[in-house]
Amino acid sequence: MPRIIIDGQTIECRERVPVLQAALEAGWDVPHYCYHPGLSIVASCRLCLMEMKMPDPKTKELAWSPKLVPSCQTPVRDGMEVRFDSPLVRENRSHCMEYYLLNHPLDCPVCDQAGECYLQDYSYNFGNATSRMVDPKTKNPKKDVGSKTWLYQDRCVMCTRCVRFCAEVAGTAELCVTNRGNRAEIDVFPGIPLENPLQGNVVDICPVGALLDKDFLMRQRVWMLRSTDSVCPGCSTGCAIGVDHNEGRIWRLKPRFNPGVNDWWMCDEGRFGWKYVHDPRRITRAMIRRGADEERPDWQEIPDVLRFRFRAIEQQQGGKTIAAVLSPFMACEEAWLLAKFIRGIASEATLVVGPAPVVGGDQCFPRTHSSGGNGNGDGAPPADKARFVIRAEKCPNRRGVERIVERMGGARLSFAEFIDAAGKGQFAAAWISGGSPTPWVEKPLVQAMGKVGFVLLHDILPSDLLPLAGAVLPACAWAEREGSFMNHTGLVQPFEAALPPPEGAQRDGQYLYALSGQVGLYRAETVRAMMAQEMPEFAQVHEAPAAAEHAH
Amino acid sequence: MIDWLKEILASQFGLSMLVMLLAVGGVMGAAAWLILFERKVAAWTQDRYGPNRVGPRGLFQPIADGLKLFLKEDIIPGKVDRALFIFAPCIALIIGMLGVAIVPFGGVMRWSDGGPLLKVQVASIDIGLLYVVAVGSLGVYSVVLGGWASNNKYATYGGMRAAAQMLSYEVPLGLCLLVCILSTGQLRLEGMVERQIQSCWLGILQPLVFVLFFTTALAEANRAPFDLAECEQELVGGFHTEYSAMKWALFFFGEYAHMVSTSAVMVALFLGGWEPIPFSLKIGGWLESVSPLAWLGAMLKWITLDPSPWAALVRGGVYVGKVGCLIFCYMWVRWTLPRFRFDQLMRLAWKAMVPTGMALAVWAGFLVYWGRPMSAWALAGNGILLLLCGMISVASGRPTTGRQDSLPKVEGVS
Amino acid sequence: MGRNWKETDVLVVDQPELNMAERLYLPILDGLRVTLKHVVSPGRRKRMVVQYPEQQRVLRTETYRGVHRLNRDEQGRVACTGCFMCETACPAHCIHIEAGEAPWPDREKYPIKFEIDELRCIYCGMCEEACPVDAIELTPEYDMVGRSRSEMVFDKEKLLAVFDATKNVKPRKNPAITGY
Repeated sequence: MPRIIIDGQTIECRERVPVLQAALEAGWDVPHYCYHPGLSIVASCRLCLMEMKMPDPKTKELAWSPKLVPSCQTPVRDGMEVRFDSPLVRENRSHCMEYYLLNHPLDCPVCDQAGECYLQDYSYNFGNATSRMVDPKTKNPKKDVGSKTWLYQDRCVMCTRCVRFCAEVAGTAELCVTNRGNRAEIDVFPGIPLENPLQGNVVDICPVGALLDKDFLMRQRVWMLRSTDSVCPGCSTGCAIGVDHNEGRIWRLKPRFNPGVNDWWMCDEGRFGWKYVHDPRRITRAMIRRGADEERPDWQEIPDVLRFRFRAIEQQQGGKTIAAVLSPFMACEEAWLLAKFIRGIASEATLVVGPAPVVGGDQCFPRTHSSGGNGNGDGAPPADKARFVIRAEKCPNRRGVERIVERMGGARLSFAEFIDAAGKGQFAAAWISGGSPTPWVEKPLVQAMGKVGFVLLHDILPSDLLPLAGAVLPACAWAEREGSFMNHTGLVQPFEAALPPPEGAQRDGQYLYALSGQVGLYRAETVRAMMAQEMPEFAQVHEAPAAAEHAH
Repeated sequence: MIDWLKEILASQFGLSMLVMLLAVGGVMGAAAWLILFERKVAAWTQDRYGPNRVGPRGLFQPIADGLKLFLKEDIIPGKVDRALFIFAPCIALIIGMLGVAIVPFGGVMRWSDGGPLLKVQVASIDIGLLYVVAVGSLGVYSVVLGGWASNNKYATYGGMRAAAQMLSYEVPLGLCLLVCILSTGQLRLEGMVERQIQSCWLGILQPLVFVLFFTTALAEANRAPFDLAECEQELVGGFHTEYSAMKWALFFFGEYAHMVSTSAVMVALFLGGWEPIPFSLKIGGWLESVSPLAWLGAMLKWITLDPSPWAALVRGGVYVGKVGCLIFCYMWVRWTLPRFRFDQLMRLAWKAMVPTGMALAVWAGFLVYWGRPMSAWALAGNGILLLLCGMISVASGRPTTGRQDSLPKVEGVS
Repeated sequence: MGRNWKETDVLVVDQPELNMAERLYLPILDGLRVTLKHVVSPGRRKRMVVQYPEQQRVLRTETYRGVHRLNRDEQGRVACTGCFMCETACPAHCIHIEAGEAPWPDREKYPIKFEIDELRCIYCGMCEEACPVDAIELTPEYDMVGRSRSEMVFDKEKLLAVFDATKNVKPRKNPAITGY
């Protein structure tokens, strides 16, 4: 590992990274706009310039170079010495900031970026309090570049991160720079709006308030949001995300840096896929049918009532007539608790993995024609070479639930076999877990369930099964639960609960915990430790590394 | 019919009934208007006017308050001991008023010359002062029962505090009474007043006893600075936290009735009862010899001794006036002094007042043995004792308030 | 926790030594004298007390912090830009804003909802300090009543009405500022 000296301190850094990256990783807050570790380097913003020791051409002795060099474009070399903490560097930053703010409208009060804006931060740290600009400011209009983003051109600093993202990661290259010099602008080509499945990322990587999310526009100020580390449930990639919430509501999702899984990115499907969490139709109350009456029991009595019902069926009709469908939307801990409960009632009960929705094929990026293609004709690379993949399997935890069912052993059926068997009247009681944000209950399932004596529906949105169900338990959305998902590569990624469960509901984990005979508060970590004794693959979880401010 | 009434009125029984009616009505009304007076005194000490909206200068405020209290929702919280909860405020009022029974408002009178001498008093009983002590001590029941029945920890704390406080202050109270009994050789209140008229007011002869008694009376009535039983900062409302409407008001009435009766007893014990000024017989006799002021001297003697109903009425007025002054003192003290801390309260009772009271009782006993119980020696003894107390206190080197030196050292602080 | 306290960190303050008079509680007489002085001087209270509502104090309109108002710009539109600065600065959390795109071409953002819970407010004036466009101001109005809690939650219309009612008493400081 190379050792370099920054501001007199020797640090060790990775091979073949820019000095800027090494400094950021070592804890220096070096200002930068154009540099992004996930994109190519252009060295256009000139904020990260540093002083470097070079051999004097005459004396051949090492001395500070008179000219500043961009730290983002200078790879680390063992023994090199650089400094950021020098009057020259600071002066450069101050001049750069003055230049960037020449035409800036200073409309922070109405700008959504305020609070997480690199312009604000750097201006506060290195900038000047007043502007020497005497001419009227150039006012660029805001542009409707795509269905999901606004471009406020007057706030832009021309770092071209968005242009490079579209070209290099999405591969669709909708954005470009038009005009030159003082008049340079970001724009789309006429008639071709910014419409790619990763476009939300341009808002994230924009260091200023130029590209804004239409969905989040003017809804909340960012300093009021609290971010909870979570995992996207949209597909089996399992992107690390932050759920930004306030007042019990999700306002936006942001990707977190998670090398090897989603790097810095996430897709729009996942980014805007949280709306069902606040669906007014959601099932929020538990219900147990007794004859023609619908009872709304207290959460305290539900474990006893359900245990009693299942025991009665087990004793009267035998354990073989009990089945449980474990949804791939459940967290590993919840699936395990449910499986344990059912097997605790009857050891010969059947476990079924619920249907995993598949939509189309995997979408791989960048979609350039030069990258070889995967034979689909859309210019996308094969999945193993892609920089980002949106999986066709639109559920977060099929692999995890399958693994648990496998390791539990005993009677297992596929979902199709289960529908068949249930249609033949083999089951007297079935626990059906759903939790899918999209409608998933199809006719064969409803017909088959008509033959089952006692159906317990455990779902998030109402469906045709609701009138058949002898008992209904509300499922919480992923943002209201805690647990872990096993993604398509087998990584177990934990996520935290961002929101409280909706009024009247209880977290799935909590009542499953109580059903399995445990007392107290459900903690996913505790359950995971219990699981790990039987299934060591759950002992190790994969967590995205924490990132410093301005790191990406 | 009228003859029958006259006959009854002419007897001691009839007069007692009359006085009783007047006293009960008077104390009840007084309690209502004393609350107004209290608020006025509070306002005055704070440079305010106090209630001045209902009636002239706010004089009808008690009526408005009473109406409000009657119309308020009377809440009995769940899980309280209902019987005791309702009973407690009643005790407060009853006990507060019982003390008035033996107060000698106007000495003796007769309706007509040659008629029997009657005592202007509800009951003249042999055990006089013992009755006062016995009845006064019952007052703690209302507070303790109210606090206990409320089923509220703050109320219970308030009740417990009140109990501890009253038990503690009963001791110096008893010692003070002992001094009075020793000095006058009487248990009947009217007898004590007569002894004071003959020689001198005990408040003058034994000022230290008077101050001690006044202090214990404050504590017994749960008045500031000894109102720890209803300490808002610590106990919400104290023993009456759960009370509302008229039941709450009864506690208030009880407190003011208690003030009235203890003040009345104090007037009899220390301030010469119905005597308008100290030494009024001697001064009156002397004034009679000074020709221009002879009428004044005669009037003093007439007020103090004459058995006519009119003189008795004036005597009653003098008595009530003195009671009013003492009640003003109660309020004056309340709006001047902050509340004691509980340990300070206990220290004051057991370490300061009980020893002082004992010394005073011993000195009074010595004077009785010497045969001069009501002489200037008593006053001299009070002064010397006060000086002695101060010297002992200074010599003991400990502040009488504040830091607890005996606490263990805090871990980590060297 | 976890701090190692040194001897020098602790300042030991002894109680002042009491003299003999103080030990005998005699200074109580001093206090009684002071309060009695106030009781017997009616002139003092006559000077101090304002008989509200017959008498009312003349308030300094510039500095008194009473009911809030939302200023209008010169075109009569709400001057607020919905930047949430007041909501952020509010220590009592009594301001609730919902912002949206302004319906006017020259303005970017405006408050769709703007509510102040006047019962929760502590009238500190931080919102006024925080406002970048001087849209929220505190007025000298202080005698407001309501029959319910919800009535005391002032919405945008009510706050604008307060402006209309008080603009003659206290004109806007910077009428030219209209927002973004």
